[in-house]
Amino acid sequence: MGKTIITVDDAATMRKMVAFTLRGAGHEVLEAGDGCEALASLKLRPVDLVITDVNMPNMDGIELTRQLRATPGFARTPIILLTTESDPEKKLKGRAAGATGWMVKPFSQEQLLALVSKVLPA
Amino acid sequence: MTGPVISRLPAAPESAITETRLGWLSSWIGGLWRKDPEPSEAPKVHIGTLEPRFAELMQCLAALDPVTAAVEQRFLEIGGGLEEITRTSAALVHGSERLIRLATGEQGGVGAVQGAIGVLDPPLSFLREFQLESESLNGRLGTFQSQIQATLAIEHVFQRTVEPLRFVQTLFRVESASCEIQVQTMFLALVRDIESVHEQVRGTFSDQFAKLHETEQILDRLIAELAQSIRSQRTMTDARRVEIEASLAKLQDEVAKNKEVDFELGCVSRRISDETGRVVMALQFQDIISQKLQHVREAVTEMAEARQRAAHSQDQAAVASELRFVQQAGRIVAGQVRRVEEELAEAEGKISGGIRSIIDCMAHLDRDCLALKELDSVAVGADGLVKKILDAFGEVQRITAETAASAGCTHEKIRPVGDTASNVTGLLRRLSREMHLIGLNAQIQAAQVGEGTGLEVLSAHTSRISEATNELSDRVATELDDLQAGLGQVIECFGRLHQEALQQGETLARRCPAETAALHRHRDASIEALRAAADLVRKLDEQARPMLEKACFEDIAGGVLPALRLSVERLSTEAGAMADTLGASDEVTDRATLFVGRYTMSSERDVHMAAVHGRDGSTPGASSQDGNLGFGAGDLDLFDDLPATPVQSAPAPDTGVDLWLEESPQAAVAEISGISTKVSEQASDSKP
Repeated sequence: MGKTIITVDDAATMRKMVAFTLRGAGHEVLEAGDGCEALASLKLRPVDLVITDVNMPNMDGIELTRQLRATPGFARTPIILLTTESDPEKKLKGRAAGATGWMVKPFSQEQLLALVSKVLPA
Repeated sequence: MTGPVISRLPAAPESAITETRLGWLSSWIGGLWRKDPEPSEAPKVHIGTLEPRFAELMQCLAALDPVTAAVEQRFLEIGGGLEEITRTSAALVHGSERLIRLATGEQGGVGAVQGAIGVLDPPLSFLREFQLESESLNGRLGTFQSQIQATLAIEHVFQRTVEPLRFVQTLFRVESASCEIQVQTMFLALVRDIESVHEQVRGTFSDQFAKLHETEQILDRLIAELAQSIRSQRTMTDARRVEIEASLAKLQDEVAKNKEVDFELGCVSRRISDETGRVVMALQFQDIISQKLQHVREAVTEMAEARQRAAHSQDQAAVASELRFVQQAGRIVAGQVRRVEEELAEAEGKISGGIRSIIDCMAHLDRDCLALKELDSVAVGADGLVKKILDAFGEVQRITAETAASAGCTHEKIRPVGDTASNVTGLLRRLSREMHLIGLNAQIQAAQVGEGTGLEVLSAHTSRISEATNELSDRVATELDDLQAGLGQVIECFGRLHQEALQQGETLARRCPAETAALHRHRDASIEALRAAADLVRKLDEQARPMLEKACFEDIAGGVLPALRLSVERLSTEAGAMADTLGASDEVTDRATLFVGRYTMSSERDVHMAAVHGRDGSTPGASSQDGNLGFGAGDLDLFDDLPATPVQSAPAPDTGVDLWLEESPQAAVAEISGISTKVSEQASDSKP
């Protein structure tokens, strides 16, 4: 059964490719352009998974993760950081903020779907 | 006295407020003069000569913004187009699967064909049996015809046998005239009996034999017609049976081939999926390129600031340092821009290659899909199985009706033959009885008149004629009785065949509509599926061709990036020369090193290191983000229990995915990493 996933990225093309991949697998996908937009959207609609970029204007992915973890209802929602960054220190920050996983761009569709299926129960 | 050439007077510093302007100005001028190098020791550096280069660079940078926006828009449009193409190609693959099921009969076809053949089989079998039995009956009719011809030949024999009685009759009158009245009366009675026989032979006997002759001719025509009818019907039914059996065998072959076609369709489907995946990965490079160009902008801005500082600095060492920074930053920026050009070109190639491959797959389906040929031969084609069966229904119904009519007609035509034969038999038996009585009577009269008289001789002669006639009559009557019995059986057979043919026709007429309707539905569904597939192929072509045009970025980014790179390279070279002239150290400046802090990609760090250390840019152990000009798979790292503090030992290899699950993260990431390896291998395999 399809899940509800939000993809957060300031790059519209990247959001489109994530959404295209996930919708092809039967998931419902919401989109947001940065962390603030994502938080506003998530107040209205809960999701099963958050996939977010790290470097974004207004609110980056790590701050978004931190705020979501502090929000009731999102303490255990899987959060994947999908980013061009591969720096170990950044990963540490991501994990410390409460992220569930980290994936480097560009992603392959199979990997993204496999990752989603691992973090989301059937 | 010489002094440094400066582009303009600097603004008075804030500290000038506490001094008089004149005092400050004199100090400043004195400082300038004090800083004048000796002509033989202090080379001249004209920062202003870099102005045109910087102006050119700023122009190139200004041109970059619309290009970046245009590239982003183009990538978005391609992404939107990819979604449409993916939907259309998925629909076409699904349509092809349906075509295969229709073509091989799985979807309704086998059922409809087998149902139709199940309805056609009984009448076809009946027709075959009818034809065989009719042939046999026709053979018997031929025998009857021969018998009738033999009977007709006896007519003259009979008349010749009876004819002498005419003379006997006359002689009886003459001889009995001189006898006693009593004797005369008896012989006259005998003469009257003989006269009666002659009358019957002249009248009824001739009529009946004439009818028998007509009957023989009717039978002759009937036999010929029946033979012709059987021949033509056998040819048609045999041909239909062979055709249907061959078509059914062919349909079974197609069903068996289904697995092969399914496999091929599966390969096409997977290939489309792979190509779509490659295009998806290539489209992600818009974000990567955009980030890199943003860092390039920041670096160029810092270069411009360095130029400003150098222009306003009185410290030669500081100027030299700024110029060295401009040189190093320029190299770095040129390297980054070159990398972006390469990545954009690679993305263009991957996107257009992927779209072309998808178009090729669809063309392969359209052109070579086995299902279309099989569909044509089974369901749709003018010579297809369905058409043949539908025609067979019509023809078998027609033949069955004709057969029923033929059997009925034969039955009606044969019956009078039996009646005629029966009449002849009756007549012959009657004549035989009368001749027998005449013979007996003649013997009695002969006994009474005594031996040796003429009457006795005539009586004896009459008796002999009577015996001969009896014998002939009895023989022919017996033969005609046998013929009649045989004819009766044949008539009964044809009557039965007529009824059976009518029954077959009724059953066929009752079951035909449902079966032909099923076949028509199958055929209509096949035609509809073909039409839908053709529409999808056309739609895909309409969607894909504009995307191919969009996948060329020459029109929007063509000269801008190379111009930017060349401009910054020239600036770097000239700034470097000026720095060398001023004797600046060629160590990597701190500010150039600080660039590393803004990088978000390992590929940027690699280009940076190559630029500042003069290497070729490839770094061992680079992440798969750069695997093949950055088109490796998204990395997956198994990331287990990362400590809170930075790792002091060598970091684990970066595989691009980290997963911090509570349960079995290693297993999860190992599985996902396996996908990473497979995708990387596929990416390598796909390279020319």
